[in-house]
Amino acid sequence: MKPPANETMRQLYHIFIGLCFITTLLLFGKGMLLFLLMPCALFVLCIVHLKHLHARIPIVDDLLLRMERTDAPSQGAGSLWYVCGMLLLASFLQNDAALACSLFILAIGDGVSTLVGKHFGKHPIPYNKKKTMEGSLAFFLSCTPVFFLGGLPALLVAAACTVVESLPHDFGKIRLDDNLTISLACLLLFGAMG
Amino acid sequence: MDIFTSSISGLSFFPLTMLSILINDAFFFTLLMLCAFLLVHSRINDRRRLLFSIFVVLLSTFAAISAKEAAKEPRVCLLFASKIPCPQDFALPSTHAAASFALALSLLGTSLFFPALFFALVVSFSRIYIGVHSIGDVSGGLAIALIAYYSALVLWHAFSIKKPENTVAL
Repeated sequence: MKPPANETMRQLYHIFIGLCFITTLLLFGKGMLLFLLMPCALFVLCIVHLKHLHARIPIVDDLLLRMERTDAPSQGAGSLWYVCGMLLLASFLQNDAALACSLFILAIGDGVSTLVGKHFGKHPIPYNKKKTMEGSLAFFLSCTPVFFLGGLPALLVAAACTVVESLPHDFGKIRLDDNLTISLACLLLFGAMG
Repeated sequence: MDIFTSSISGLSFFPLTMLSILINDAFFFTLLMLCAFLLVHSRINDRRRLLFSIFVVLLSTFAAISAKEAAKEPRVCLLFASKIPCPQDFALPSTHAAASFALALSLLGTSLFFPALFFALVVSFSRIYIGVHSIGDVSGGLAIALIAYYSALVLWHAFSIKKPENTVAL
């Protein structure tokens, strides 16, 4: 029998992976980050393909069983969008500080908001009953360290991303992944700020 | 330029250079893509899959050209030596990479996915090898292709068009 996906473990894994990539950026630069992200994206893509064909993949199967959302459109899709979001940011953002801030918002903000929302969330957001005010507040508060990386503009982007994350992502059968929407919001806002 | 881009563009191997020059040619690359579509049509025998693949590739190419104009990132060959004359347009993202990765993505869930992915990797490598793109431009192409694939799925759904068999939802 399939055990229920552990949301807490999933989010801790999300945060850990994000921190690994942020550390890579800060220690070795954008070139190394892209050099790691590209094979990661291709690897996850291959997993999505193989799982669609019901192939058995040792270790990966176990990880997917524990980490993947049960309502994901396909196995590995969540991870693919996470890597795709980071790839998009790393490719298009030319400023390393803006890139570090965006990765921080994507990795920490999103992860912490889900953890807080699931465990302490009591007050639903009026325009999105699936999200809670506690989760959104945690998103913004956990992103405040970006101020030290990118100053006030980074904090404004974090606030805007908090709003983007709190918006409904389900439109009937169409479901947007928050990893993609947060990445696009960071990209557009940092791009507009130059 | 990062160390990986400079290492790859610093390589010199005559057959690879010839192949990269051929891939760089717009006419030859279009011909390659048309051959790929013919292969999809003959091997998968699903007209909907063929139409979907063509749509994803066109959407990805259009998105990549638009993103180039928005990002306005200069080519690496303006600063460093390349194996061909430096193209006049912008670099980010690589349109060749975006189109070839879009082809591979449109074949997710089929037996042609891995050959198409290999083709996309060869095309992407050739763009860095020849010195007209960096690893960032190529990875930007992959990201654009993923978004184009997802957008195509959404549009297919919005217009109530029947999806090809075995389509992978993302």
